[in-house]
Amino acid sequence: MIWNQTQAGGQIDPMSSINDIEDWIGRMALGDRAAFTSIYSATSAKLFGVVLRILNDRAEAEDVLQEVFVKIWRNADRYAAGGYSPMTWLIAIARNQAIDRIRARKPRSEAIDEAFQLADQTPGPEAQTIAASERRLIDGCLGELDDAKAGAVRGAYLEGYSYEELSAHFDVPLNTMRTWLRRSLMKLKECLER
Amino acid sequence: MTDREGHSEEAAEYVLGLLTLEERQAFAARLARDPALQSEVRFWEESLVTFASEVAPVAPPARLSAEIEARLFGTSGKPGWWGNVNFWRGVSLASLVAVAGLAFVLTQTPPAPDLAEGPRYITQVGDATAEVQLLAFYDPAREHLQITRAAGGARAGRALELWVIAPGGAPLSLGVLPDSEKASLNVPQGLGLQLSGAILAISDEPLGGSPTGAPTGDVLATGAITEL
Repeated sequence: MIWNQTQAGGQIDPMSSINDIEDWIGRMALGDRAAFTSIYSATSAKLFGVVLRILNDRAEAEDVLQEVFVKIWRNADRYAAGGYSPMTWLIAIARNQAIDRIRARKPRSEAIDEAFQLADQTPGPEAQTIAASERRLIDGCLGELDDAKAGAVRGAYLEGYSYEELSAHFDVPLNTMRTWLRRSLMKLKECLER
Repeated sequence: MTDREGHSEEAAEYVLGLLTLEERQAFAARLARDPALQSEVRFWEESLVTFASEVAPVAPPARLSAEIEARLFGTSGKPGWWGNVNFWRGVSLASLVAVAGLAFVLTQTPPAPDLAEGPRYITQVGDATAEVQLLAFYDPAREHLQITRAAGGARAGRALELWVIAPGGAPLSLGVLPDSEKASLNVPQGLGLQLSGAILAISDEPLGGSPTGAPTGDVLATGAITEL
């Protein structure tokens, strides 16, 4: 099972292994279009889920997913130099593209408070497929932060919340939010590296 | 706060996506040139990616894959030998004289590019007497330089750094060359438009590249950029 070999999240086609994905990326770097078709069919649903969650708008998410796969094709030859595991690399491209898009549009009008689910710390069913030890590591380290800060980190990653939105949500000045979160992130890093 | 901590905080903010668009773009520009920053970003991406397991896959509409492939590959058939790294790897096995001859042939009969995204450039850096000889090919679709080293390498305990020098301009680093026959270097955004008439140069630098942002050691090879 793929998730025993990687820490990347979520389901992709169970028939494809992490080695397949790496192989496709390598072949894309050589201009192999069949490899592009394979990687698209194995990973597009996962990546679409990731960008849709951040953008919360189907048409925009479709547009961004296009850009994501164009980028994957064009950057395939830089993959090896980066030292990423393959799903992390793909998800990073998808999130970056989605976040660039959401930052380019006007601040979200709807209050994030409703969407912001601090209580929702329980991993969903997909999370069960991640290697348990890796899941425990990040969960354990987040557990060392207080709930609000752990929730802010999670919300930023998954929903694409900005400092601005988080400071409005927590009703603290932007700089306070920044100091707060920076401190938490350093604590998190210290724990992850332990 | 040490530098490394500052780096790591910024990298985490970038990875999480907390920054404004302007801050993100400024960070991304620094990231492209800073290996220490790149490794911090990688640390955070690899650490936080477990969150993505919480995201349920959602099938995109079926038409989307065709749209993307049309955008990438156009409607024409096969990918050209043109963008094929294997072809360029083959080139490196030929003698530089043959390479120069080929470059000449290519400039006489440029094939129709399968991606009309801007001019392609080729440069032979270093003649047969140069300490380092390589062939650089600029691919506008990927905005990078494909480097094929034909001869030579870094001096012991030193690195090779590649520079682009626009007419009348200061050398701009394109990065340190990896110690491999084949390499691919990022070209800073927008630079692709300014390659015409410029030259490429390779200098001898300390490991990790020039500490000053300008060449500090011997210039080992140069070559004029030729539009294909």
